[in-house]
Amino acid sequence: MTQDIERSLRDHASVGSAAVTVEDDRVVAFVVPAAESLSLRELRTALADTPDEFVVLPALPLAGDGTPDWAELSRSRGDLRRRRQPYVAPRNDMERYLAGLWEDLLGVEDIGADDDFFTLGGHSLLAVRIRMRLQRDHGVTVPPEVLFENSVLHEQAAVVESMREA
Amino acid sequence: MSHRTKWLLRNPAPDAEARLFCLPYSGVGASVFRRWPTHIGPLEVVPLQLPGRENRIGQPGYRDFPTFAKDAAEALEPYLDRPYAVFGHCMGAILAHALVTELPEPQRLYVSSSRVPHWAPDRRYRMPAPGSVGVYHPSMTEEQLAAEVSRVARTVGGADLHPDLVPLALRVLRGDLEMCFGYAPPLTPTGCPISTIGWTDDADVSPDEMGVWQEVAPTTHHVLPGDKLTFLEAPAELQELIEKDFRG
Repeated sequence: MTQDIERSLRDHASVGSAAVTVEDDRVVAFVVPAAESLSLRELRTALADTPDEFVVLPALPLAGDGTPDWAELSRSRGDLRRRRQPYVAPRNDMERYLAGLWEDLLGVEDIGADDDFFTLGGHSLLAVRIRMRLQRDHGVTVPPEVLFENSVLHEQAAVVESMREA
Repeated sequence: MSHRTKWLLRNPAPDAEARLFCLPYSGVGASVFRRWPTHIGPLEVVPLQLPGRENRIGQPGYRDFPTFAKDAAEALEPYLDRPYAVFGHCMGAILAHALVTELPEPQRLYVSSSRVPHWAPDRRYRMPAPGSVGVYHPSMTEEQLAAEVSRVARTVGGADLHPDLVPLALRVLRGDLEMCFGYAPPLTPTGCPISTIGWTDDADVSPDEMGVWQEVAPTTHHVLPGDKLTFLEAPAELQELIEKDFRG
């Protein structure tokens, strides 16, 4: 099962490398994007069998013999979990829209209303991409500093909504 | 998960053996450490976020180092319950030194590409040498600063800084430069040993000048291949020396 998922991940054009294992009774896929960003939603749709969770990494840590360093990978998974707030489902259209956008930009699934953009690995250039997408999809121009300061999802959604109405 | 301080991008791991608090260089936020691993040996990597940048952009930035150091030491107090060290690069090294003098029992201070804080500002900072990247001076015009910031963005991110971000970046940078130039402390020992990291192709701070840190505390010197921005990738040699020196 894990090997099948690993093989189909490796065969996918958007994936550079992948390692799949079972941790805490969950199938966990560690993936390195082939290009700058990777949409986990599209990846899930493309796979016949899907893991329970993804962890996106800049590179796969390897042990001395060239196999994946599972201890280090497990640490990365723990680190990602600590970056997240207890899950609160997005509650309105703007929160759901931004959650989907962040998920694509950050390579993190199930982003919740209380999650923080910078804590999840965001940086200023990615914030500019949020700004461009908001312009295109919602016709609203949000200054970058407003996106920076309102880096928690539900706060960002509220400020974007208020600017759209103004 | 209940306690959240904006000084840290994420809650430190409760089971970490030790912590490495990391301070960014001028004009940028804690996200510059995003390519660093989460752990270096026993040390959990914990980047610090200063006010005035990224998710703290709404808070006024510091104007002087002592106030920064006192506030940061107070904010970190809950996380000093195990061995820890502090790392800083360029302006981050000056911040790290100021912070360490306010902290109880730090194990080690790591400084990369920075002259010592007790040199007068006009000796500590120079106009960018030819070929240098990422060196700023307060006498530079807005246009010169903008060009340099864009050069750093190209070097680090492979693309020009987005025009939307230039005014913000310059505001943070100008504040940092003024803070650096207004800082002229006496020689202040750290109470813990220092590791210096010089870079062979650093056109700004030479490895020789890193040697002056031994006036501050007992020092272990290192010179690594690379330039002023190589540390962003956390090269293996850097990780090795951090772990080795921490273990003593």
